[in-house]
Amino acid sequence: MLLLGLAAIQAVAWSTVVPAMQGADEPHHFAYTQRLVERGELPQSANPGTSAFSQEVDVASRWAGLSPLIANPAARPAWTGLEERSYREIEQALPDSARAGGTGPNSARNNPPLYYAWGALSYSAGYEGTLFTRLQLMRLGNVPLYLAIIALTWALTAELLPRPRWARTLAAAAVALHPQLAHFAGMYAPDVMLAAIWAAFFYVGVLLLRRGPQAPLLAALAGLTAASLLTHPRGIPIVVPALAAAGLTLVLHRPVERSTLMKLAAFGTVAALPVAAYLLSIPDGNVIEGSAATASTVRAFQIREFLAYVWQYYLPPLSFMDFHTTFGADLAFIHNFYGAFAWQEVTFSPTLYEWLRWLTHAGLLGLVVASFVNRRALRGHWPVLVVLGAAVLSLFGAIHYSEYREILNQGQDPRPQIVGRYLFPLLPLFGLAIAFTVTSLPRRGAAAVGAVIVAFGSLLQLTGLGLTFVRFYA
Amino acid sequence: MPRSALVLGLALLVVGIGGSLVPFLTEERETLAGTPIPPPLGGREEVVPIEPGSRICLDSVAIGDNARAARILVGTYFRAGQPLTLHLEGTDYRERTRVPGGYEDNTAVDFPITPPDAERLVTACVRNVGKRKVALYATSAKNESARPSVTLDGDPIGHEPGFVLLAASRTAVIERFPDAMRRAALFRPVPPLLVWLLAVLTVGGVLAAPLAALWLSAREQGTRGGDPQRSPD
Repeated sequence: MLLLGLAAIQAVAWSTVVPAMQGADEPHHFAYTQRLVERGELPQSANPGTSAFSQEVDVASRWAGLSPLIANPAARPAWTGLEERSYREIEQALPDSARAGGTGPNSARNNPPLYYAWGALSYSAGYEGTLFTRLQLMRLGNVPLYLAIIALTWALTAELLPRPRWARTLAAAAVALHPQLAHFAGMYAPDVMLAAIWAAFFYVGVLLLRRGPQAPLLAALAGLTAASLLTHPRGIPIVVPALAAAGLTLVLHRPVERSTLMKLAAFGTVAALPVAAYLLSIPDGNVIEGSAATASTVRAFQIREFLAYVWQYYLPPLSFMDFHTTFGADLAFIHNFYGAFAWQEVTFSPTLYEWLRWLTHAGLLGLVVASFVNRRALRGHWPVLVVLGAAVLSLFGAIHYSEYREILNQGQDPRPQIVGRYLFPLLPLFGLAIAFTVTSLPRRGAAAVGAVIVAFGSLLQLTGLGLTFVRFYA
Repeated sequence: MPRSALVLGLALLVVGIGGSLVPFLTEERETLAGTPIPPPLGGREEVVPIEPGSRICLDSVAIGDNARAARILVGTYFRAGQPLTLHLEGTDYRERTRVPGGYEDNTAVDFPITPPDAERLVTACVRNVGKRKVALYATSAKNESARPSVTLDGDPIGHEPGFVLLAASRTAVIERFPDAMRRAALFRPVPPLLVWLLAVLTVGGVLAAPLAALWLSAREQGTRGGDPQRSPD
């Protein structure tokens, strides 16, 4: 409860420290929800030449100084009470139609609507308030999702690593203190919902493998898979571990009754219905039209080139590779993963990132060693490892495939697409891996390393919050 | 969990706060009083040429009672900088100030000002009173547009020159916290007092709760003989 209480405070703090519309892509997510509520339509269809944002958003941005603030560290939001009072006078005079515009192309239009339907509840709850009140409530809608990620990490670790007891606390603390996740818990963006769905999926998947094909677990698996698909295109990779979990459960718990298979088919069908309904609602049936994953590209996909790209993402190029890329894991999986706040312009010091890089490498090495040392015990958990491994590989595979397609699209001067929050769905495994590695150490050393990790996480969290607060208000 | 592990964690917290956070909070730096139009992002700078006698004006500039200087970034085309005047005009407030020529190319030019006694929305006009043209660094990106409308000799232009207000003296970050808390509560449905309360809860919680949770869960295991519980710590 202590960690959950802290996490709730952190999320509220982040939502207060970052001004409106300063979370990555937050204006587009807000506009999506506003269109959903005000016009009852998804933004997949757009009026070319018009703005994605309503008049209400424009007025709020002008008076609070939000547009020039985006990604510009030299800018500050409006700091005078006079500007706030002037805004309120103008806002009260706006017609109802001021909220209903914003039908132009929205960069979040490829996202399915589940998260925005969730946000619409908060938007509606604050309907009589200003845009700032509604956005604050929408941001706070992430708090239960964030708490769910932490609680499910705790539960997953308790299931897989029952002793020592503090291992689950360490895993949950590692996730709760993750600065970038806490930052996004205070923003209005679908990443936290996607991570919560995957966290629940991991827990349900493990229970399913261990306890067999019980109807509630099968229903939860199907529901979570559908929820992931309906939350974000990056939720699509969940299909691979979901199939692996269902398939392995049926194989491991043979013979399976016919009624169980019927229930599985029924749950799958019911879960597929909203996904199918969403797909059918998209104009011309192209679900992620314009996205890197499906768009027609300037150059053709080549498997050899794709593999060279993936290799170079993590390792130096080899002499025979004729494809070269400057993209790398350091930016996406260190800088943006641990902390690059607001529109990524608020960053830790280079020294701290260097520390994080070395600690991450040391942690990965420790995980390999711990896995080797505990290989006999791990062998007994092979179905769980297969499902968790499938989740990791499918997510990494999908984001690399998507970025490679973007490289093909953008020709000579491609921009990196992958950012650290794309790994949020795997954060429960991040916490679990830390707990597993640390508790593999001798008892006294394990406790000391665990305490150091938690203290370091506290410092990171506080540093991120402090830097962001100072960037906007001091 | 041995007590030494907890002590190690606490020691790291103390070292981290003492070695990093305290210097960050206490080092004195230039103090902003507002960014009516922020300087353009690096790589996106454009210039607005100001001919001798020409005047560029920005309306709806919010200025508080702590502003002591207004800053613009001026290019001089590789020659000595030209004298410039700044006029600020709003309800019950009028200020006129001047900077002499001779400053270097691509320099931040600060006009000393006497602020109004309360917050005002003013029109700010910069006039080139020299004999050669100068240029103000600006942006024309629509998606970075600030509130003030900009005119050059009375005609609207698409560029917005950076215009920043500075406070009197360099201050440490920690000295600015009272103002910062008030600013953080603007455009939010919360009073400044709640922001203060949240800050205290956050700092105290982040420093104490995680280590306490780890310690308590380890101690609970000790007292229960390692019997795992199934509720979050």
